[in-house]
Amino acid sequence: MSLEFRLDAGEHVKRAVRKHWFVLILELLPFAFIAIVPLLIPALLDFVAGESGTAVRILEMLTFENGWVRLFMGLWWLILWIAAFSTFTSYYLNEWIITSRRIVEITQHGFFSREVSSALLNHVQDVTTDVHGLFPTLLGYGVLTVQSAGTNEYFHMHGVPHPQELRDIIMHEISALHPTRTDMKL
Amino acid sequence: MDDVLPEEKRMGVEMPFMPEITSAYDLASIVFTLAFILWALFTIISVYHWMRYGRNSWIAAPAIALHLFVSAALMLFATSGFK
Repeated sequence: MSLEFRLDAGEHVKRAVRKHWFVLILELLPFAFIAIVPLLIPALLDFVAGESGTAVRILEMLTFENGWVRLFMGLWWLILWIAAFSTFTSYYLNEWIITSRRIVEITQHGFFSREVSSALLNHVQDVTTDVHGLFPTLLGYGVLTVQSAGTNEYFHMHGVPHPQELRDIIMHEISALHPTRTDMKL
Repeated sequence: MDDVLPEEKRMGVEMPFMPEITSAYDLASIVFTLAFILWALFTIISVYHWMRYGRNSWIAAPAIALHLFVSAALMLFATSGFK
């Protein structure tokens, strides 16, 4: 695994996560709906204008036999494909990495804008999970919020799969970094 | 009549830095060329990001291949109505 940041000596990657696949589907669905909108125009025109001569002439032109209709639809779908592929690229290049010492958030804000921020686990004050709604509950994804002490900074991981499991990993790593007083006496 | 424009002057509108548009095919060519330039720019930028940040992932090459394939299919469809 090649990382965009350097691991310290003895630091290991525990988990790398992206948003749940269903979140990606939800983000892509609007493109699918917008793609079929022009196909509804002839039916809508037929419904509104009925048997009028002008409407019939326009409807006769609005077929895939017409080169201009093909050009418009082809370019319309091409633009939507570009937008959808851009959404997928953004989905894939956004990532959270939990190591044995820190949490790294990699955020791709569109093209040519990439942010990599870290929160040390020994500064973590609170880890909260929120699974809210029908699909998140059924499919097991939600929000993981990590509050970092001192800087009062929050890490929000929206739409991550199995947030409780991630919270357990983080808490386990924190406890490994902070031995209990009993351990210290031993 | 003297005031009638010669045939070659009436064929099309000539504008500086603009190709001569004499038919619907010419206009379609210009529209498609502009769309292709935008697509090519997006593709170069997108591939750059995949190669820089996601090249170690198994999904990078199939994602780029899918983008090229779908784009090519849509561009062929868009131009297929003009012969």
